[in-house]
Amino acid sequence: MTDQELIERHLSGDPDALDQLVRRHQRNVFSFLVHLTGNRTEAEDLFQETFIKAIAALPGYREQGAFGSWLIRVAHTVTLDAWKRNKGRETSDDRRLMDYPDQGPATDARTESREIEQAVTGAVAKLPEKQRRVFLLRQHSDLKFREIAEQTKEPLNTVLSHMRYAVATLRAELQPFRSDDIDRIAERNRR
Amino acid sequence: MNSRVSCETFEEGVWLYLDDDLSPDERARWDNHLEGCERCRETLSNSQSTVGLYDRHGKVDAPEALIREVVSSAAMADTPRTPTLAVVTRMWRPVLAAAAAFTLMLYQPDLIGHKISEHRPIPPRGGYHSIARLLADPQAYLEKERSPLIPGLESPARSRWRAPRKPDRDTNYLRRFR
Repeated sequence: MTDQELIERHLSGDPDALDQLVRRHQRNVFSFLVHLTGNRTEAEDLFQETFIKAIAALPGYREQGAFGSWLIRVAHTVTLDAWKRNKGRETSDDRRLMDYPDQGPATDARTESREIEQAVTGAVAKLPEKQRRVFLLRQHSDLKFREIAEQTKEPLNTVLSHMRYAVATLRAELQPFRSDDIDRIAERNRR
Repeated sequence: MNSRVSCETFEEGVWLYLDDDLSPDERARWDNHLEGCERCRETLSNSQSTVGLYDRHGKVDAPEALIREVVSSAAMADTPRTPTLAVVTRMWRPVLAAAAAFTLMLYQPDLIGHKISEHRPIPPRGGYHSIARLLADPQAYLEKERSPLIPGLESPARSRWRAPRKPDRDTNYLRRFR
């Protein structure tokens, strides 16, 4: 069932449609917010606010591109609004993920996998805020760079430059985790 | 159009190439460059592998309790889709008002007339049956009811009736001394 069908079912009163819709997109939206804010508690608050605003806007929603991309745009706007509200906050550049979630029993394979996840999360958290926003908008939505430029209110060349530097930084940070190591760990996890 | 793509240009716009956000001409020129440039092929490969690493290992699930909370609070905040009595009443208000007026006109036509026109001071009587009698024999009905719509048939007794004047407080007060 497509997102549009789920939205129509929700609007016509099907109580399960909303649950399915949220579950389908929770991982993408929550990851976006966790990496964008660098703070899990803040991400949880913004996650809730994002979905409540998005669901309230569903009666007027018209399908233009993927629903997931629209949700990411809502999440991005909600986050920027929250940052504007909390003017005295520490900048997101100063943040690091301190409370990475416990995701199951600590087997050797699980530990190694978690190590990579933490390295990826840490590397993203180290990116300057503008680079991080561009990188995350590109990774979590189907937005073209021209649309990301509109969303971030920056020229296209600047946005492309942010993306290039972000990827270069991530590549340098994640150098120890070469692709063959990662494949080996993923293979072990599958077994 | 036939200008060659430099490595610098390719590196700057590698994401446009990866997202297929170039015109067909531009893409053909970039493809030509890529065929003969090992350095740019490596740039392309590195970019793809880095974002692939993020896609595989950078995703986090929201806590189950949070998902449930979001669904329940969104459902509570949402407009009720099952029409309540109030919604039904609001939707049908004009129809109900028209029906009420029609019913009133049927059963109490004189009351409606009294409200609309000041030519009908006669208290309501007869209701639905009066309409039936009017339709059956208009002349007899009008004569009997002494409708003011027909000049000269108005009942003097009714039209001149006045409520007895209530003695004012001073008169009552003086009456005690008489």
